[in-house]
Amino acid sequence: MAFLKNDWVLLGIRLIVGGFFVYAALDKIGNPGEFSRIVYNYRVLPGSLVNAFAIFLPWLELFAGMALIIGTRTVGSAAVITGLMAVFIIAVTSAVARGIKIDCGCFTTGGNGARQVGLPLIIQDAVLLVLSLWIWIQGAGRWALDATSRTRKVASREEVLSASEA
Amino acid sequence: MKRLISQVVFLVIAAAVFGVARNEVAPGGIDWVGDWEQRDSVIAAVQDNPEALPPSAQPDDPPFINLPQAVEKFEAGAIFIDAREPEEYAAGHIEGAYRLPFERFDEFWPFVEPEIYDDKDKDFVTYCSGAECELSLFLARHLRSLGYKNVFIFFGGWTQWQDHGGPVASGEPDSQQQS
Repeated sequence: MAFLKNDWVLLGIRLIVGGFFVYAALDKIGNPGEFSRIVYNYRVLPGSLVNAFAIFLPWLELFAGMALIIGTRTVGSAAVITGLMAVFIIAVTSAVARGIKIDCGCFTTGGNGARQVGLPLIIQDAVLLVLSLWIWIQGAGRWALDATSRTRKVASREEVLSASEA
Repeated sequence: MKRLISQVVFLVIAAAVFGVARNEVAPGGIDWVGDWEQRDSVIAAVQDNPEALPPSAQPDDPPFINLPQAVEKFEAGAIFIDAREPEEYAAGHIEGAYRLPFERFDEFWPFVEPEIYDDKDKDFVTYCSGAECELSLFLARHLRSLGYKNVFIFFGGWTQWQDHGGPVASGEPDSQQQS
């Protein structure tokens, strides 16, 4: 499994995961009203928090995705993305478990013909979670803006160790 | 660990700043606290079947009807109007329904209006995909504002109609030229 630590592989993972997030953020930023309705439809958040969440979340997705692609603040952006994927998986799973048919609101706020929540979506989210978790653990690799030496990798491993002790 | 926290905090603050700025400055911003909870209570008050209603239902909206009522209207010759996108209509719709995508109303209305203008006093039933879709409600409100008094919203929509096994058709409408 050594190839998983290959700098090119790490770069590829960052581009894929970061690209997903940037792409997913753009339509939501452009259509906050529609996106807030999608958030509401999940019936997970209290009504008073729905709009603030819908305003904030797409930008967090955008910045975390961009940071991951460029390879700056990699630990932070990978952690944010991993956390968001966990939240999304929980939200989608709970929607499926409650039997509500809603648009996932993942990549488009358009509604008509958009993807609905379901098992394929959960699997896709799980794959993204694993990939971002790997970047979190492994670091951005060599092809990153602020990780040009191996010391970064060592540092991030030490961080993970200290985090697991804490 | 410290680096992790500072980076996450940085991203969160950056997102908050840009989120606030975009919402305040750019067009299409939304209220910080939506009236979702109020909608919930309105919905609960409007009908016995709260989960079958759209979030933005208001007490003075055209009446909502359930599946048995929709079947009754269908058999009585009510005019059904499909508020979904043309592609969805083509993939399948309630038999005899007109194609009038709410989000492209101005484009399709000229083809529908001549067909129904003389039937203003008849019963009309709007529908869209089903639960969580609000196009049928928006279309019903709009039709009523145009003078169609007897508009009903079949909020179970295409999903319930299909599950029920009601008469369906697919493809383009017979009488509407526009594609």
